[in-house]
Amino acid sequence: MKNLFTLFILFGFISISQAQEHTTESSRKIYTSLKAYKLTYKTPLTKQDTLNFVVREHDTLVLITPKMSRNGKSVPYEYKDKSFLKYYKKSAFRSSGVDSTDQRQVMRYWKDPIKIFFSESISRKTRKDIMTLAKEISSQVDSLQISEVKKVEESNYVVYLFDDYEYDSLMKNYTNSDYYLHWNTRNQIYRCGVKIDTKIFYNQALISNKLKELFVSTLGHFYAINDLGCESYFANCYSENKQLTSLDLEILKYHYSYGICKGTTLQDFEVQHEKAKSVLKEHNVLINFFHLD
Amino acid sequence: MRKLIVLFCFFIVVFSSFAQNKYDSIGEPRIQVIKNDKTADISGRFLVLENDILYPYSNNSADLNFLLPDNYDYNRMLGYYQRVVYCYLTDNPPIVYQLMQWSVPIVIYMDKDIPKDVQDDFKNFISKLQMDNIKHLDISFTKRFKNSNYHIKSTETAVNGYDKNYEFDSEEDRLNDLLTGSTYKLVTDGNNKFYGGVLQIHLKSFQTNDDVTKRLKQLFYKSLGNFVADNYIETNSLLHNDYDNSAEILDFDLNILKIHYSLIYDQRIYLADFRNLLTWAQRQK
Repeated sequence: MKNLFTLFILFGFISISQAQEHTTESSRKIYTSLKAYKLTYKTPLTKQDTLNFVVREHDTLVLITPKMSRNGKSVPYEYKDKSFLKYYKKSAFRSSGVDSTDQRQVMRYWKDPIKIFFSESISRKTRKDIMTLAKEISSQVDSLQISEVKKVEESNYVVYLFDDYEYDSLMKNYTNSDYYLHWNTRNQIYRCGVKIDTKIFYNQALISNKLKELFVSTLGHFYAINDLGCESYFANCYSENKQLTSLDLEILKYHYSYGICKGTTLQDFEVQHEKAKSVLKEHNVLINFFHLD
Repeated sequence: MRKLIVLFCFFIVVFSSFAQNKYDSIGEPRIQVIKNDKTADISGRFLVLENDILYPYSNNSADLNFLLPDNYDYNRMLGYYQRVVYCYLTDNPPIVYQLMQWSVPIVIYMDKDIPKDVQDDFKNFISKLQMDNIKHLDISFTKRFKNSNYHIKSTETAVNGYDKNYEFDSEEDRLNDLLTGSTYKLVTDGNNKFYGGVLQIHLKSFQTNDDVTKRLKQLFYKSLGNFVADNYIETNSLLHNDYDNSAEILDFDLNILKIHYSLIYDQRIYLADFRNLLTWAQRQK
């Protein structure tokens, strides 16, 4: 029976992403739970559809036929060991992992390409420093494109100084150098403002270093954690020698990998990993995550 | 039977406190890449990535000798140090002060309109600090603004480092306050470490150049750890409210810095952590 169809597991949470088992068989059938079907698919179920129902582990599964299919992309589960996930979760979910409120924390990510506009008062050297880092990240992280634009109306990311025009009204009362991210109900970031106080970050080196630190944080509303060496951009301590460490890149790559659902709560993230790892262990197959367009 | 239970509990307490007898236990060591290091302790925690293996950097061998009272002439030196850093030593203090350190060399740029004799006296003061070779505290000057991370800035606007509604006991107290006519602001990371700062001084608020020098010395010293100034020891201490602008730096003041910069802590150190370190230092003897 196991070889006749692929088990389609869908976690019908807030996320629109779905999961399905990955197999090398040329012909496969895709199932989803009835509950998840109602949340995601608009096509009403017919009598024929009900005849194709399968019951698995107390769930009624609906066979997905071509007429029901929605546009999207199926990506196999990306396995990660628990030690990596410990640091990833602390940063991406801003979680210390010690209480139940942590479980409701969500991860946030950019869906559209990032287009950065620098205000005129940002020096050429600083712009170059930021864009060098941005290009390094962009070239190594799939699904994350970053570029510079010359017109503010073409941008979704503005970098400016305290005495400049106020590009983001929500930052007008900020007294410290910081960023503000705007996200939608699917936890997709669509706009960002970064603002630097030059009274304290008074020269180019201090401004550049602060901007680079904030820039990496804005790629996923990441929290700087106290587990990592200070050279890491994800560490909560300063270093004059910050660099994209192998762990930094792995965190960013994983954050933008579609081998797990995006924009979920920590609780959903944990459940998905548990399920995917259990299916991998028991059936030696990878669940697929189906991401709707 | 009751005695046995008490004895059993005693052993549990003793052994659990010994199990904690390590610097690392005040916070997990930070993970960093140690490439091609065959001596790394691979039996410990490690993190496998696609191309690298990361190990926690252990600081268990940290020398805590500087926390032994015998090293200081004042037998209450470590008690004073705690007051200078944490201000309140009681449980549930009204304000929680934290231990803050510079984690990078301090490179000072002084504005050109600060009088030359003030600049010279201040540089002389810094060189005396440097002569004592305080571990992990490196201070130098630069003539290039862009190379600095500590700006001593002369301002035309009167500055005060307190709220305008703050009430002093007398006008004399207000005028003598360290934050009348001068302020400092430090750039702090998420780990209570400083890596930049601006000290502003309004020259017109001071009657003589000596007054300016005195203020610069005191405020700069304070900014090395956000120290709490009070009437410590004698008036020749930089931390005394009536500091006499002494030519020499008091041993007490140097010892505060020696204790403060003997170790750059990997994690935040709260008062309870510091007290644990004091206990462990005794055990290391």
